Amino acid sequence: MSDPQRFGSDRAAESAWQEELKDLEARWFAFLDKLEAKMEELCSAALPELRALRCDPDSQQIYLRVLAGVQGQLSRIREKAYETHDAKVTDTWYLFRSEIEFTNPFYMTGNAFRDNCDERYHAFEEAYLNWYNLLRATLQDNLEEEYRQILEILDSARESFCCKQCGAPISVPPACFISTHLACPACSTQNTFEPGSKARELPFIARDLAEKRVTPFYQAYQQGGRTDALYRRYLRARYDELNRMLPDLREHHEMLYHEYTASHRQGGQDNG
Amino acid sequence: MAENKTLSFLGSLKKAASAQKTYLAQEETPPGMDVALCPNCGAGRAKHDGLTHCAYCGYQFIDTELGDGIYLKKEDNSPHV
Amino acid sequence: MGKDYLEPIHGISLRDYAAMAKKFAEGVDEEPIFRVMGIDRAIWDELNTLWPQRMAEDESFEVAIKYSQYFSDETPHPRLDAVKADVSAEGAANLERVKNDRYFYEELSGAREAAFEYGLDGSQWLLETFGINLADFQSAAMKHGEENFKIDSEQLLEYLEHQRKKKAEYAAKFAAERGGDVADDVEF
Repeated sequence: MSDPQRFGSDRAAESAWQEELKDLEARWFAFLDKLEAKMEELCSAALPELRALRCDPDSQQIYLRVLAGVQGQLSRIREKAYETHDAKVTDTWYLFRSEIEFTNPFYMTGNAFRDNCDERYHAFEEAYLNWYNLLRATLQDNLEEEYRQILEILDSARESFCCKQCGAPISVPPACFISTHLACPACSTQNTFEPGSKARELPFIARDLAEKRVTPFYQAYQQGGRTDALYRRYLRARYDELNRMLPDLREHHEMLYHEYTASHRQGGQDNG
Repeated sequence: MAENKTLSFLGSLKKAASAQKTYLAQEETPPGMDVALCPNCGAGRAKHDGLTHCAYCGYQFIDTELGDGIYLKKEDNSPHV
Repeated sequence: MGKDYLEPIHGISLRDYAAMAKKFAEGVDEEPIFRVMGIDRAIWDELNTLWPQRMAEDESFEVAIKYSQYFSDETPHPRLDAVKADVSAEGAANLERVKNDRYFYEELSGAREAAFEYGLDGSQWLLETFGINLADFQSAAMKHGEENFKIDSEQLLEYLEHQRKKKAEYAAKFAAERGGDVADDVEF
Protein backbone atom coordinates (compact mmCIF):
# COMPACT_ATOMS: atom_id res chain seq x y z
CA MET A 1 0.00 0.00 0.00
CA SER A 2 1.35 3.37 -0.91
CA ASP A 3 1.50 6.00 1.78
CA PRO A 4 0.14 9.24 0.36
CA GLN A 5 1.17 11.13 3.51
CA ARG A 6 4.83 10.35 2.83
CA PHE A 7 5.27 11.68 -0.68
CA GLY A 8 1.90 12.92 -1.84
CA SER A 9 0.87 11.44 -5.21
CA ASP A 10 2.09 8.08 -6.48
CA ARG A 11 4.15 9.74 -9.17
CA ALA A 12 5.80 12.07 -6.69
CA ALA A 13 6.32 9.19 -4.31
CA GLU A 14 8.10 7.16 -6.95
CA SER A 15 10.30 10.00 -7.95
CA ALA A 16 11.19 10.69 -4.32
CA TRP A 17 11.97 7.02 -3.83
CA GLN A 18 14.10 7.01 -6.95
CA GLU A 19 16.19 9.87 -5.58
CA GLU A 20 16.46 8.35 -2.14
CA LEU A 21 17.48 4.92 -3.38
CA LYS A 22 20.03 6.35 -5.78
CA ASP A 23 21.53 8.45 -3.03
CA LEU A 24 21.58 5.61 -0.51
CA GLU A 25 23.17 3.21 -2.99
CA ALA A 26 25.91 5.69 -3.84
CA ARG A 27 26.56 6.34 -0.15
CA TRP A 28 26.59 2.62 0.65
CA PHE A 29 29.15 2.00 -2.10
CA ALA A 30 31.30 4.90 -0.97
CA PHE A 31 31.01 3.78 2.65
CA LEU A 32 32.23 0.26 1.84
CA ASP A 33 35.02 1.71 -0.33
CA LYS A 34 36.19 3.61 2.72
CA LEU A 35 35.93 0.60 5.02
CA GLU A 36 37.84 -1.52 2.50
CA ALA A 37 40.53 1.13 2.32
CA LYS A 38 40.74 1.00 6.13
CA MET A 39 41.11 -2.77 6.09
CA GLU A 40 43.86 -2.49 3.53
CA GLU A 41 45.64 0.26 5.44
CA LEU A 42 45.40 -1.69 8.70
CA CYS A 43 46.51 -5.05 7.32
CA SER A 44 49.23 -3.69 5.05
CA ALA A 45 50.79 -2.01 8.05
CA ALA A 46 50.19 -4.95 10.42
CA LEU A 47 51.32 -7.87 8.24
CA PRO A 48 55.05 -7.02 8.12
CA GLU A 49 54.99 -6.38 11.90
CA LEU A 50 53.24 -9.68 12.53
CA ARG A 51 55.65 -11.61 10.30
CA ALA A 52 58.62 -10.10 12.11
CA LEU A 53 57.15 -10.94 15.54
CA ARG A 54 56.26 -14.45 14.40
CA CYS A 55 59.88 -15.14 13.47
CA ASP A 56 61.29 -13.88 16.76
CA PRO A 57 61.41 -16.81 19.20
CA ASP A 58 61.16 -14.45 22.19
CA SER A 59 58.02 -12.69 20.94
CA GLN A 60 55.57 -15.52 20.38
CA GLN A 61 53.09 -14.46 23.07
CA ILE A 62 53.27 -10.83 21.96
CA TYR A 63 52.76 -11.97 18.38
CA LEU A 64 49.57 -13.83 19.33
CA ARG A 65 48.20 -10.86 21.25
CA VAL A 66 48.94 -8.38 18.46
CA LEU A 67 47.39 -10.77 15.92
CA ALA A 68 44.23 -10.96 18.03
CA GLY A 69 44.22 -7.17 18.32
CA VAL A 70 44.47 -6.67 14.55
CA GLN A 71 41.79 -9.29 13.96
CA GLY A 72 39.70 -7.42 16.54
CA GLN A 73 39.95 -4.22 14.48
CA LEU A 74 39.00 -6.13 11.35
CA SER A 75 35.95 -7.40 13.27
CA ARG A 76 35.02 -3.86 14.32
CA ILE A 77 35.13 -2.78 10.65
CA ARG A 78 33.03 -5.75 9.63
CA GLU A 79 30.49 -5.05 12.40
CA LYS A 80 30.27 -1.46 11.21
CA ALA A 81 29.39 -2.67 7.72
CA TYR A 82 26.89 -5.17 9.11
CA GLU A 83 25.10 -2.65 11.31
CA THR A 84 24.99 -0.06 8.56
CA HIS A 85 23.68 -2.59 6.06
CA ASP A 86 20.91 -3.38 8.48
CA ALA A 87 20.03 0.22 9.19
CA LYS A 88 20.42 1.74 5.75
CA VAL A 89 19.86 -1.03 3.19
CA THR A 90 17.60 -3.61 4.79
CA ASP A 91 15.38 -1.18 6.66
CA THR A 92 15.00 1.00 3.57
CA TRP A 93 14.11 -2.05 1.50
CA TYR A 94 11.42 -3.03 4.00
CA LEU A 95 9.99 0.45 4.03
CA PHE A 96 9.99 0.50 0.22
CA ARG A 97 8.17 -2.82 0.11
CA SER A 98 5.58 -1.55 2.53
CA GLU A 99 4.89 1.42 0.28
CA ILE A 100 5.27 0.11 -3.26
CA GLU A 101 3.03 -2.71 -4.43
CA PHE A 102 4.70 -5.84 -5.71
CA THR A 103 2.69 -5.52 -8.93
CA ASN A 104 3.83 -1.94 -9.57
CA PRO A 105 6.57 -1.87 -12.29
CA PHE A 106 8.44 0.63 -10.10
CA TYR A 107 8.93 -2.17 -7.58
CA MET A 108 11.82 -3.36 -9.78
CA THR A 109 13.76 -0.21 -8.92
CA GLY A 110 13.71 -1.15 -5.27
CA ASN A 111 14.66 -4.67 -6.14
CA ALA A 112 17.63 -3.46 -8.14
CA PHE A 113 18.68 -1.22 -5.24
CA ARG A 114 18.66 -4.15 -2.87
CA ASP A 115 20.50 -6.44 -5.31
CA ASN A 116 23.20 -3.88 -6.10
CA CYS A 117 23.76 -3.09 -2.43
CA ASP A 118 23.88 -6.75 -1.48
CA GLU A 119 26.27 -7.57 -4.27
CA ARG A 120 28.57 -4.78 -3.11
CA TYR A 121 28.23 -6.09 0.45
CA HIS A 122 29.28 -9.58 -0.65
CA ALA A 123 32.35 -8.14 -2.34
CA PHE A 124 33.17 -6.37 0.93
CA GLU A 125 32.74 -9.61 2.88
CA GLU A 126 35.10 -11.34 0.46
CA ALA A 127 37.68 -8.61 0.94
CA TYR A 128 37.28 -9.01 4.70
CA LEU A 129 37.76 -12.77 4.47
CA ASN A 130 40.80 -12.33 2.30
CA TRP A 131 42.47 -10.06 4.87
CA TYR A 132 41.40 -12.31 7.71
CA ASN A 133 43.02 -15.30 5.99
CA LEU A 134 46.19 -13.35 5.23
CA LEU A 135 46.49 -12.42 8.91
CA ARG A 136 45.86 -15.99 10.01
CA ALA A 137 48.37 -17.32 7.50
CA THR A 138 51.15 -15.66 9.50
CA LEU A 139 50.58 -18.39 12.09
CA GLN A 140 52.11 -20.81 9.58
CA ASP A 141 55.01 -18.52 8.70
CA ASN A 142 57.75 -19.93 10.84
CA LEU A 143 56.71 -23.55 11.37
CA GLU A 144 59.48 -25.20 9.33
CA GLU A 145 62.07 -23.09 11.14
CA GLU A 146 60.58 -23.77 14.57
CA TYR A 147 60.53 -27.48 13.83
CA ARG A 148 64.15 -27.35 12.65
CA GLN A 149 65.17 -25.56 15.87
CA ILE A 150 63.47 -28.17 18.05
CA LEU A 151 65.15 -31.01 16.15
CA GLU A 152 68.46 -29.26 16.62
CA ILE A 153 67.88 -28.93 20.38
CA LEU A 154 66.80 -32.55 20.70
CA ASP A 155 69.58 -33.90 18.47
CA SER A 156 72.26 -32.10 20.42
CA ALA A 157 70.69 -33.38 23.66
CA ARG A 158 70.66 -36.91 22.24
CA GLU A 159 74.35 -36.75 21.49
CA SER A 160 75.55 -35.00 24.60
CA PHE A 161 73.75 -36.60 27.52
CA CYS A 162 75.70 -38.90 29.79
CA CYS A 163 74.76 -40.82 32.88
CA LYS A 164 74.93 -38.58 35.95
CA GLN A 165 76.26 -41.54 37.96
CA CYS A 166 78.98 -43.07 35.76
CA GLY A 167 79.34 -40.78 32.73
CA ALA A 168 78.45 -43.36 30.08
CA PRO A 169 76.44 -42.01 27.13
CA ILE A 170 72.69 -42.45 27.40
CA SER A 171 70.53 -42.67 24.34
CA VAL A 172 67.42 -40.50 24.34
CA PRO A 173 64.55 -41.63 22.08
CA PRO A 174 64.24 -39.48 18.94
CA ALA A 175 61.67 -36.67 19.15
CA CYS A 176 61.20 -37.23 22.89
CA PHE A 177 59.19 -34.16 23.84
CA ILE A 178 58.25 -35.19 27.39
CA SER A 179 60.21 -35.90 30.51
CA THR A 180 61.02 -39.56 31.11
CA HIS A 181 63.29 -41.98 32.94
CA LEU A 182 66.15 -43.54 30.98
CA ALA A 183 68.39 -46.26 32.36
CA CYS A 184 72.14 -46.01 31.86
CA PRO A 185 73.26 -48.91 29.61
CA ALA A 186 76.52 -49.20 31.57
CA CYS A 187 75.60 -48.91 35.27
CA SER A 188 71.80 -49.25 34.98
CA THR A 189 71.12 -46.09 37.04
CA GLN A 190 67.81 -44.44 36.19
CA ASN A 191 68.42 -40.96 34.82
CA THR A 192 65.59 -38.48 34.27
CA PHE A 193 65.49 -36.71 30.93
CA GLU A 194 63.89 -33.27 30.62
CA PRO A 195 63.37 -32.06 27.02
CA GLY A 196 63.17 -28.36 27.98
CA SER A 197 60.47 -25.81 27.25
CA LYS A 198 61.05 -25.44 23.49
CA ALA A 199 60.98 -29.17 22.71
CA ARG A 200 57.77 -29.49 24.74
CA GLU A 201 56.04 -27.54 21.98
CA LEU A 202 56.87 -30.25 19.45
CA PRO A 203 53.45 -31.97 19.26
CA PHE A 204 51.67 -28.66 18.62
CA ILE A 205 54.16 -27.51 16.01
CA ALA A 206 54.16 -30.95 14.37
CA ARG A 207 50.37 -30.90 14.11
CA ASP A 208 50.32 -27.49 12.41
CA LEU A 209 53.33 -28.25 10.23
CA ALA A 210 51.89 -31.58 9.06
CA GLU A 211 48.70 -29.76 8.07
CA LYS A 212 50.69 -27.14 6.21
CA ARG A 213 52.78 -29.71 4.38
CA VAL A 214 49.79 -31.70 3.14
CA THR A 215 47.78 -28.66 1.99
CA PRO A 216 48.06 -29.78 -1.70
CA PHE A 217 46.39 -33.07 -0.77
CA TYR A 218 43.59 -31.27 1.02
CA GLN A 219 43.06 -28.95 -1.94
CA ALA A 220 43.02 -31.94 -4.32
CA TYR A 221 40.34 -33.51 -2.11
CA GLN A 222 38.24 -30.36 -2.06
CA GLN A 223 38.56 -29.68 -5.78
CA GLY A 224 38.25 -33.31 -6.81
CA GLY A 225 34.68 -33.88 -5.69
CA ARG A 226 35.47 -34.74 -2.06
CA THR A 227 35.70 -38.45 -2.75
CA ASP A 228 36.62 -41.11 -0.20
CA ALA A 229 39.77 -42.01 -2.10
CA LEU A 230 41.05 -38.41 -2.15
CA TYR A 231 40.17 -37.95 1.52
CA ARG A 232 42.06 -41.12 2.42
CA ARG A 233 45.05 -39.95 0.41
CA TYR A 234 45.03 -36.61 2.23
CA LEU A 235 44.69 -38.22 5.67
CA ARG A 236 47.40 -40.79 4.88
CA ALA A 237 49.76 -37.96 3.92
CA ARG A 238 48.87 -36.07 7.12
CA TYR A 239 49.48 -39.02 9.44
CA ASP A 240 52.62 -40.11 7.58
CA GLU A 241 54.01 -36.66 8.26
CA LEU A 242 53.00 -36.92 11.92
CA ASN A 243 54.48 -40.41 12.21
CA ARG A 244 57.78 -39.08 10.89
CA MET A 245 57.79 -36.13 13.29
CA LEU A 246 56.41 -37.96 16.35
CA PRO A 247 57.30 -41.62 15.87
CA ASP A 248 56.35 -42.56 19.43
CA LEU A 249 52.74 -41.50 18.86
CA ARG A 250 52.28 -43.70 15.78
CA GLU A 251 49.61 -45.88 17.41
CA HIS A 252 47.48 -42.82 18.20
CA HIS A 253 47.90 -41.39 14.69
CA GLU A 254 46.84 -44.67 13.09
CA MET A 255 43.80 -44.79 15.35
CA LEU A 256 42.74 -41.33 14.19
CA TYR A 257 43.42 -42.23 10.55
CA HIS A 258 41.09 -45.23 10.74
CA GLU A 259 38.44 -43.33 12.64
CA TYR A 260 38.34 -40.40 10.25
CA THR A 261 38.40 -42.51 7.09
CA ALA A 262 35.55 -44.63 8.47
CA SER A 263 33.40 -41.63 9.41
CA HIS A 264 33.99 -40.05 5.98
CA ARG A 265 32.96 -43.31 4.32
CA GLN A 266 29.74 -43.24 6.32
CA GLY A 267 28.97 -39.83 4.90
CA GLY A 268 30.26 -37.90 7.87
CA GLN A 269 32.03 -34.61 7.53
CA ASP A 270 35.74 -34.29 6.92
CA ASN A 271 37.97 -33.78 9.91
CA GLY A 272 40.32 -31.31 8.31
CA MET B 1 45.38 11.92 9.18
CA ALA B 2 43.84 8.53 8.57
CA GLU B 3 47.09 6.64 8.23
CA ASN B 4 48.46 8.04 11.44
CA LYS B 5 45.40 6.79 13.29
CA THR B 6 46.02 3.24 12.08
CA LEU B 7 49.72 3.42 12.81
CA SER B 8 49.20 4.89 16.25
CA PHE B 9 46.63 2.20 17.01
CA LEU B 10 49.12 -0.49 15.97
CA GLY B 11 51.84 1.14 18.05
CA SER B 12 49.62 1.28 21.10
CA LEU B 13 48.46 -2.29 20.51
CA LYS B 14 52.02 -3.59 20.34
CA LYS B 15 52.99 -1.63 23.42
CA ALA B 16 50.10 -3.02 25.47
CA ALA B 17 50.70 -6.55 24.17
CA SER B 18 54.39 -6.34 25.09
CA ALA B 19 53.80 -4.85 28.51
CA GLN B 20 51.36 -7.51 29.69
CA LYS B 21 52.40 -10.73 31.39
CA THR B 22 51.17 -13.98 29.87
CA TYR B 23 48.83 -16.04 32.06
CA LEU B 24 50.90 -18.71 33.85
CA ALA B 25 53.99 -17.75 31.86
CA GLN B 26 56.84 -20.18 32.47
CA GLU B 27 60.56 -19.56 32.34
CA GLU B 28 62.33 -21.01 29.31
CA THR B 29 64.23 -24.14 30.28
CA PRO B 30 66.93 -26.02 28.36
CA PRO B 31 66.96 -29.82 28.02
CA GLY B 32 68.67 -31.63 30.87
CA MET B 33 69.51 -34.94 32.49
CA ASP B 34 69.43 -35.66 36.21
CA VAL B 35 69.32 -38.53 38.66
CA ALA B 36 66.89 -38.69 41.54
CA LEU B 37 68.58 -39.94 44.68
CA CYS B 38 66.53 -41.46 47.44
CA PRO B 39 65.68 -38.64 49.87
CA ASN B 40 65.75 -41.20 52.68
CA CYS B 41 69.04 -43.08 52.15
CA GLY B 42 70.77 -41.30 49.24
CA ALA B 43 70.89 -44.31 46.96
CA GLY B 44 70.33 -44.01 43.21
CA ARG B 45 67.69 -46.00 41.38
CA ALA B 46 68.76 -48.89 39.17
CA LYS B 47 66.72 -50.10 36.21
CA HIS B 48 66.01 -53.56 37.67
CA ASP B 49 64.87 -52.06 40.97
CA GLY B 50 62.03 -50.24 39.25
CA LEU B 51 60.96 -46.63 39.58
CA THR B 52 58.43 -46.76 42.36
CA HIS B 53 60.46 -47.73 45.44
CA CYS B 54 64.04 -47.41 46.67
CA ALA B 55 65.71 -50.83 46.38
CA TYR B 56 67.77 -50.18 49.49
CA CYS B 57 65.48 -48.68 52.09
CA GLY B 58 62.05 -49.23 50.53
CA TYR B 59 61.28 -45.48 50.38
CA GLN B 60 58.33 -44.85 48.10
CA PHE B 61 59.18 -42.54 45.19
CA ILE B 62 55.90 -43.03 43.39
CA ASP B 63 52.54 -43.86 44.91
CA THR B 64 50.74 -45.24 41.90
CA GLU B 65 50.95 -48.32 39.75
CA LEU B 66 52.53 -47.81 36.36
CA GLY B 67 50.84 -49.29 33.31
CA ASP B 68 52.02 -49.41 29.72
CA GLY B 69 52.31 -45.81 28.60
CA ILE B 70 54.51 -44.09 26.04
CA TYR B 71 57.93 -44.69 27.63
CA LEU B 72 56.93 -45.88 31.10
CA LYS B 73 55.95 -49.57 31.24
CA LYS B 74 54.52 -52.02 33.75
CA GLU B 75 58.01 -53.46 34.23
CA ASP B 76 59.04 -50.13 35.74
CA ASN B 77 57.05 -50.89 38.90
CA SER B 78 59.44 -51.92 41.64
CA PRO B 79 59.18 -55.51 42.84
CA HIS B 80 57.21 -55.58 46.12
CA VAL B 81 59.36 -54.69 49.07
CA MET C 1 35.49 -51.05 20.45
CA GLY C 2 38.27 -52.91 22.28
CA LYS C 3 39.81 -50.02 24.15
CA ASP C 4 38.37 -48.94 27.49
CA TYR C 5 38.85 -45.19 27.31
CA LEU C 6 37.95 -44.62 30.94
CA GLU C 7 40.44 -47.07 32.40
CA PRO C 8 43.01 -45.24 34.59
CA ILE C 9 46.40 -44.45 33.05
CA HIS C 10 49.33 -45.26 35.33
CA GLY C 11 46.78 -45.70 38.09
CA ILE C 12 45.40 -42.16 37.60
CA SER C 13 41.69 -41.92 36.82
CA LEU C 14 40.12 -39.33 34.54
CA ARG C 15 38.73 -37.61 37.64
CA ASP C 16 42.21 -37.37 39.17
CA TYR C 17 43.63 -36.12 35.90
CA ALA C 18 40.93 -33.43 35.52
CA ALA C 19 41.43 -32.32 39.13
CA MET C 20 45.20 -32.04 38.56
CA ALA C 21 44.72 -30.16 35.29
CA LYS C 22 42.46 -27.73 37.13
CA LYS C 23 45.10 -27.13 39.82
CA PHE C 24 47.68 -26.37 37.11
CA ALA C 25 45.28 -23.95 35.41
CA GLU C 26 44.68 -22.26 38.78
CA GLY C 27 48.39 -21.54 38.86
CA VAL C 28 49.43 -24.02 41.57
CA ASP C 29 53.09 -25.16 41.33
CA GLU C 30 53.72 -28.66 40.04
CA GLU C 31 55.71 -29.85 43.04
CA PRO C 32 52.86 -29.96 45.61
CA ILE C 33 50.46 -31.40 43.01
CA PHE C 34 52.84 -34.24 42.19
CA ARG C 35 53.64 -34.81 45.87
CA VAL C 36 50.07 -35.28 47.03
CA MET C 37 49.24 -37.45 44.01
CA GLY C 38 52.36 -39.57 44.49
CA ILE C 39 53.61 -39.12 40.95
CA ASP C 40 56.53 -37.41 39.22
CA ARG C 41 56.81 -35.19 36.18
CA ALA C 42 57.52 -38.12 33.83
CA ILE C 43 54.22 -39.69 34.83
CA TRP C 44 52.35 -36.39 34.54
CA ASP C 45 53.79 -35.83 31.05
CA GLU C 46 52.47 -39.21 29.95
CA LEU C 47 49.05 -38.52 31.51
CA ASN C 48 48.93 -35.13 29.88
CA THR C 49 49.64 -36.73 26.49
CA LEU C 50 47.59 -39.91 26.78
CA TRP C 51 44.36 -38.52 28.28
CA PRO C 52 44.00 -35.88 25.54
CA GLN C 53 44.76 -38.61 22.99
CA ARG C 54 41.88 -40.64 24.34
CA MET C 55 39.59 -37.62 24.15
CA ALA C 56 40.53 -37.23 20.48
CA GLU C 57 40.08 -40.93 19.71
CA ASP C 58 36.81 -41.53 21.55
CA GLU C 59 34.06 -41.02 18.98
CA SER C 60 31.33 -41.00 21.64
CA PHE C 61 32.94 -37.92 23.29
CA GLU C 62 32.29 -39.57 26.65
CA VAL C 63 35.87 -38.97 27.82
CA ALA C 64 35.78 -35.29 26.89
CA ILE C 65 32.34 -34.74 28.44
CA LYS C 66 33.32 -36.48 31.68
CA TYR C 67 36.60 -34.55 31.75
CA SER C 68 34.78 -31.25 31.63
CA GLN C 69 32.31 -32.41 34.31
CA TYR C 70 35.15 -33.44 36.61
CA PHE C 71 36.99 -30.20 35.87
CA SER C 72 34.05 -28.13 37.11
CA ASP C 73 33.08 -30.53 39.91
CA GLU C 74 33.24 -28.70 43.22
CA THR C 75 33.38 -31.83 45.37
CA PRO C 76 36.76 -31.60 47.11
CA HIS C 77 39.29 -34.03 45.67
CA PRO C 78 40.48 -36.33 48.48
CA ARG C 79 44.14 -35.54 47.90
CA LEU C 80 44.29 -32.32 45.94
CA ASP C 81 41.97 -30.33 48.17
CA ALA C 82 44.98 -29.75 50.42
CA VAL C 83 46.74 -27.87 47.61
CA LYS C 84 45.29 -24.42 47.07
CA ALA C 85 46.01 -21.56 44.71
CA ASP C 86 46.52 -18.06 46.14
CA VAL C 87 43.23 -16.23 45.80
CA SER C 88 42.73 -12.71 47.16
CA ALA C 89 39.66 -11.91 49.29
CA GLU C 90 38.34 -9.76 46.45
CA GLY C 91 39.00 -12.58 43.96
CA ALA C 92 37.11 -15.04 46.16
CA ALA C 93 34.13 -12.70 46.39
CA ASN C 94 34.14 -12.12 42.62
CA LEU C 95 34.35 -15.85 42.02
CA GLU C 96 31.30 -16.49 44.20
CA ARG C 97 29.45 -13.88 42.18
CA VAL C 98 30.57 -15.35 38.84
CA LYS C 99 29.31 -18.75 39.95
CA ASN C 100 25.94 -17.54 41.24
CA ASP C 101 25.11 -14.44 39.24
CA ARG C 102 24.66 -15.36 35.58
CA TYR C 103 24.62 -11.72 34.47
CA PHE C 104 27.97 -11.07 36.13
CA TYR C 105 29.37 -14.18 34.48
CA GLU C 106 28.13 -12.97 31.07
CA GLU C 107 29.66 -9.56 31.73
CA LEU C 108 33.08 -11.03 32.48
CA SER C 109 32.85 -13.39 29.48
CA GLY C 110 32.22 -10.41 27.23
CA ALA C 111 34.95 -8.42 28.95
CA ARG C 112 37.49 -11.21 28.55
CA GLU C 113 36.67 -11.51 24.84
CA ALA C 114 36.96 -7.75 24.39
CA ALA C 115 40.37 -7.82 26.13
CA PHE C 116 41.59 -10.43 23.61
CA GLU C 117 40.35 -8.28 20.75
CA TYR C 118 42.42 -5.35 21.97
CA GLY C 119 45.70 -7.23 22.25
CA LEU C 120 45.53 -8.43 25.84
CA ASP C 121 45.78 -11.92 27.30
CA GLY C 122 42.17 -12.06 28.49
CA SER C 123 42.88 -14.65 31.17
CA GLN C 124 45.69 -12.62 32.67
CA TRP C 125 43.53 -9.51 32.47
CA LEU C 126 40.73 -11.30 34.32
CA LEU C 127 43.16 -12.39 37.03
CA GLU C 128 44.66 -8.92 37.40
CA THR C 129 41.35 -7.06 37.27
CA PHE C 130 38.98 -9.38 39.13
CA GLY C 131 41.33 -11.81 40.91
CA ILE C 132 39.72 -14.80 39.19
CA ASN C 133 41.99 -17.45 37.71
CA LEU C 134 41.23 -19.14 34.40
CA ALA C 135 40.50 -22.55 35.94
CA ASP C 136 37.81 -21.17 38.23
CA PHE C 137 36.37 -19.08 35.41
CA GLN C 138 36.23 -22.06 33.03
CA SER C 139 34.69 -24.16 35.72
CA ALA C 140 31.94 -21.54 36.23
CA ALA C 141 31.50 -21.40 32.44
CA MET C 142 30.90 -25.15 32.33
CA LYS C 143 28.39 -24.90 35.16
CA HIS C 144 26.43 -22.14 33.41
CA GLY C 145 26.75 -24.06 30.14
CA GLU C 146 24.93 -26.99 31.71
CA GLU C 147 22.18 -24.63 32.85
CA ASN C 148 21.58 -23.69 29.18
CA PHE C 149 19.85 -27.02 28.62
CA LYS C 150 17.36 -26.32 31.40
CA ILE C 151 16.26 -22.76 30.65
CA ASP C 152 13.99 -21.51 27.87
CA SER C 153 15.45 -19.97 24.75
CA GLU C 154 14.17 -16.49 25.58
CA GLN C 155 16.08 -16.48 28.83
CA LEU C 156 19.18 -17.76 27.04
CA LEU C 157 18.92 -15.00 24.43
CA GLU C 158 18.65 -12.46 27.20
CA TYR C 159 21.90 -13.72 28.75
CA LEU C 160 23.64 -13.62 25.39
CA GLU C 161 22.35 -10.13 24.70
CA HIS C 162 23.70 -9.04 28.08
CA GLN C 163 27.08 -10.50 27.16
CA ARG C 164 27.04 -8.69 23.79
CA LYS C 165 26.16 -5.39 25.42
CA LYS C 166 28.82 -5.72 28.09
CA LYS C 167 31.43 -6.80 25.54
CA ALA C 168 30.72 -3.63 23.56
CA GLU C 169 31.09 -1.51 26.72
CA TYR C 170 34.46 -3.03 27.59
CA ALA C 171 35.55 -2.85 23.94
CA ALA C 172 34.82 0.88 23.94
CA LYS C 173 36.96 1.26 27.05
CA PHE C 174 39.87 -0.71 25.57
CA ALA C 175 39.50 1.17 22.25
CA ALA C 176 39.82 4.48 24.09
CA GLU C 177 43.07 3.24 25.65
CA ARG C 178 44.38 2.62 22.11
CA GLY C 179 43.31 6.05 20.87
CA GLY C 180 40.06 4.81 19.28
CA ASP C 181 39.24 2.16 16.68
CA VAL C 182 40.94 2.62 13.34
CA ALA C 183 37.67 3.01 11.43
CA ASP C 184 36.07 5.43 13.92
CA ASP C 185 36.27 8.27 11.41
CA VAL C 186 34.51 6.37 8.61
CA GLU C 187 30.94 7.56 8.32
CA PHE C 188 28.06 6.59 6.10
